[in-house]
Amino acid sequence: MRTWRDIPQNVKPRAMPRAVRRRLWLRRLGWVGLACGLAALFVGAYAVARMMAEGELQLSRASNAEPISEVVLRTNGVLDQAWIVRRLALPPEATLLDLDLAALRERLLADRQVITVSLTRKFPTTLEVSLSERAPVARINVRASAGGPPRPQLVARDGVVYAGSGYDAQLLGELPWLGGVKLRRRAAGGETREGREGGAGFEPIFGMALVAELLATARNEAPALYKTWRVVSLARLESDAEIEVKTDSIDRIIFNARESAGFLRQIAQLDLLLDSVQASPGAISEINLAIGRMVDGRIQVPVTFREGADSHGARIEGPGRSGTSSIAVPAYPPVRSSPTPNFFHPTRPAAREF
Amino acid sequence: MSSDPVTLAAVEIGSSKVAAIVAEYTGYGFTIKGWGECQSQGVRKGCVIDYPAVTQCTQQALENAKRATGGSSGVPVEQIDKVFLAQTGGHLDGFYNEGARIVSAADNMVSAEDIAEVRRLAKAKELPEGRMLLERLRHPFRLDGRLIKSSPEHLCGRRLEVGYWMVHGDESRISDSYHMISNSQIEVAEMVLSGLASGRVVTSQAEREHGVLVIDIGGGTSDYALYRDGLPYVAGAVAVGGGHLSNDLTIGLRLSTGQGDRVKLRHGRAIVQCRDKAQKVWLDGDLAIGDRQLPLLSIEKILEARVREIFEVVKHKLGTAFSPETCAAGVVLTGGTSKLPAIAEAAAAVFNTPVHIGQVSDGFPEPLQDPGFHTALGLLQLGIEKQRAREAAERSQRPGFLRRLFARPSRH
Repeated sequence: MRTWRDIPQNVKPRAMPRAVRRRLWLRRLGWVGLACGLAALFVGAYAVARMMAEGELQLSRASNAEPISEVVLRTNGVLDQAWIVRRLALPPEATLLDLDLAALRERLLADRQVITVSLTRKFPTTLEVSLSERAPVARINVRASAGGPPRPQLVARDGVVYAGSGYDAQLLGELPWLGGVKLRRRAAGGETREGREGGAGFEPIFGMALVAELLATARNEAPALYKTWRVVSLARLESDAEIEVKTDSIDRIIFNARESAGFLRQIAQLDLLLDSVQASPGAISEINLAIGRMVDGRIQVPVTFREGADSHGARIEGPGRSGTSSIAVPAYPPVRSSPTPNFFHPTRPAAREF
Repeated sequence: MSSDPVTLAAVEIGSSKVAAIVAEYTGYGFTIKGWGECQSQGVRKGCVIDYPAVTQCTQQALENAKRATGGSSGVPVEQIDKVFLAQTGGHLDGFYNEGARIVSAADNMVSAEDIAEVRRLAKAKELPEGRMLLERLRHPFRLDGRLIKSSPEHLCGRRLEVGYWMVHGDESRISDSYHMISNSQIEVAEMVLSGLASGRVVTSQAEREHGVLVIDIGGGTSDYALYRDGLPYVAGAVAVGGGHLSNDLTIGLRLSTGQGDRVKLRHGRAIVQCRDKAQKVWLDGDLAIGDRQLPLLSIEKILEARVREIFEVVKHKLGTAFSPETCAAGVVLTGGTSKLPAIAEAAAAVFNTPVHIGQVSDGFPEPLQDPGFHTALGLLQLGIEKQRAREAAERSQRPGFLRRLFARPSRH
C-alpha cells in the first residue's frame, strides 16, 4: 500500500523558492570553498614537505660536497685576500658545513684592526667574509716586555692600539708618533702573545678622539703644516686639556683641547702666525695656542723664541714688549730670558677669520 | 528522537492562512522558539492550485516565525531539521477495515504472532488507483467481543479482532503539499491530519476516553476527529469552511468578497437572534460612497443555514460512528470560524450534544491560544509523539547485543 512516506524527497531546483535556491547555492559554494581550502592546505603541506626535503637534500649535498674553493673578502679597509686566508687558516679539505663560524669570527676579531666581521656560507663552496676596519690616526712605539725592543704600533681614532697590516709604508711614514702616553694592559682576556705583540693587550688610549680630530683638521686644512708634525704628546691632555705637537722646526705647539671645534681656529691661527713670523722657523721654540688674549679685538698668542735666535724681520703687530704698536719689530728678546712671553697676532682680521 | 536538540517546525497550510510554529526538542520536551503566519495564497479547499504562491507563503510563515520572538532567539529557516505538516482537503476520504483471526494457541492465549497477523489482515485492504494512505487509526482490539485498549498479548480468548480507520487522499495533491516543504530542503518527518492535530490540544485525555468529537472549521475545509475509548476513531475533512460563509453572504447580499468577509466578522452570527426584519446594519459604517445598509436578519439567516449545513455534512460523514450516546464529552469546536458567535449553539442543535469552543492550556504563549494556531500546536505535539513511537518501535525490532552475538548465521 502506497503511503505518503513513499513520496521522494528530492525536488528539482527549479521548483524551489528563490531563497532556498540561493541557500542551496551558498551551501554548495561553501562546500566547494571548503574543498578548495583543503586542497590548498594539502598542496601547501606537500610543497612545504618537498621544500624541506629538498633543503635537507641540498644541505646533505653541500655537506658531502667539495671543500671550500673560495673565500671572498669584502672590506672597507686595506686587508687583502692573503691576510684573510692566512688569518682564517682553514683546513684544506674543510667544507662549508664543517666551519664553526663563531670561532672564525672570534679569530678575525682578535686582530684589533678589524672592527666587525660577518661570515656567510655561499653554497656550495664559497665563504664570504665582510669586514669593517679601523683606520690609523697615529703611531706609537710599544714594548711588548720590559727591556724588549720597541715595536711601532698604530692607533685608531677610538684609541685602540693595533699592529696594522696591509698599509702603505708611505702613508704610515706620514703619521705622527704619539708621546706622553702610558699604555695600560688589558684584563686577562686579551693576554695572548699574539695579542700583546699585536697591541691587543692594551686598553684604548684616552682622548684619541680629540687627537684624531686635531690631526684630521690639520691634514685637511693645513697639509703643509701637518707634514712637519712629528710627535703628538698627550701628556697634558688629561690634566690640562692640552695637546702638544712637536714639528720638524718647532719644539712645542700647544693646542687647547677643551673644545674640539676650536682646532680649526687654532690651526689657522698657527698658520697665519707662522706666515707672519718670517724669521727662520727654527727660531721658534714654542707656540702656545691654548692661551691668548684679546687686544683691540684681536687675539694675541704667546710665542717663545730660542735663545740667541734671530727674530729680526718678524712682522709684529700689537703691543710688543716695547709697548709700541708698530707692525715690524726688528728684534725681539729671546724667550728664555724673558719672564713673560711675547704676544703676537696675525695681520689678518682675527675676528672675521677666527 | 535522540536527546540532541532538534529544531522542529509544525506547518499548517490552510486555505486562509499558513501557520507555522518552530520549536526545539531535546528528548524530554519542546521549547517553542517562534511562531508565524502568512495569509494564504494559492490554496483552495485545502488543495494547492498555485505552487509558487504557496511556496512563497510557506517560506514567509517560517520567516515570520523566526522574527516573532525577536532576532536573538528566532531560528533561521535553514536550521530547521524536521517539519510536521498538517494535511487537509476535500480529497481526503476514509474507510474502515477489520481483520479477525482465531487464536492459534490450544490454550487460547493470544500470542504476538496472532496480534501481528490480525493487524496485517486489517491493513491489507488495497487503495483505489491514484490514492495514497495518509493515516491509519487503530481501533481497540476486541477479544471475543471484549474491548482491549492496549495489547491483548497473553490474554485468553478465541477470536481476536481489530479494525483500522484508514484515511487516504489523492496522491498528486498529497505530493504537492509535501513538496511545499521538501523543496525548502527540509525533511518532512510527519504528515498528520489537521483534525487529529487540533483534537490533540483542545481535548483532554478524559474527554477522549468518554468520547468527543472535534471539529476544526477552517477557511476552506472543516476537519473532524472523533475519539472513543481514548483513541481516535474516525477522522477526515469536508470541503466546506468559513470561506463558504463569506461566499454565501457575498452572493446573497450582492457584496464583494472582501465585504462579505467583513460583514461575517462584524455582524455574523451562527443562529438567528434578530426577530426584526427592519433591523439594518451598515456595510462599512464609514458613510462613504458605496456604504449601505443590510438587513441583519438576512445575514444571520444566511450564516445559520450554512453553519448548520457544515455540521450536517460532518455528521453525515461520520455516519453511524457518531451518536450522542457514544460521545459523552460532546463536541469541541476549534479553528478560525469557531469564533463566530453562537456557533456552539448551532452545533448543539445539530449534534444534540453539549458543544464548547476548544481552548488550549494556559501554559502556551497567548498568541498561540488563538484557535487559528490550534492545529499547528497540536501538530507539534502529535508529531513528536509519533516520532517517539516510531523510534521506539524501531528500537524494539532491532536485535540486542546478546541476540546478535549468539544469533545463528543465516544460511542465505
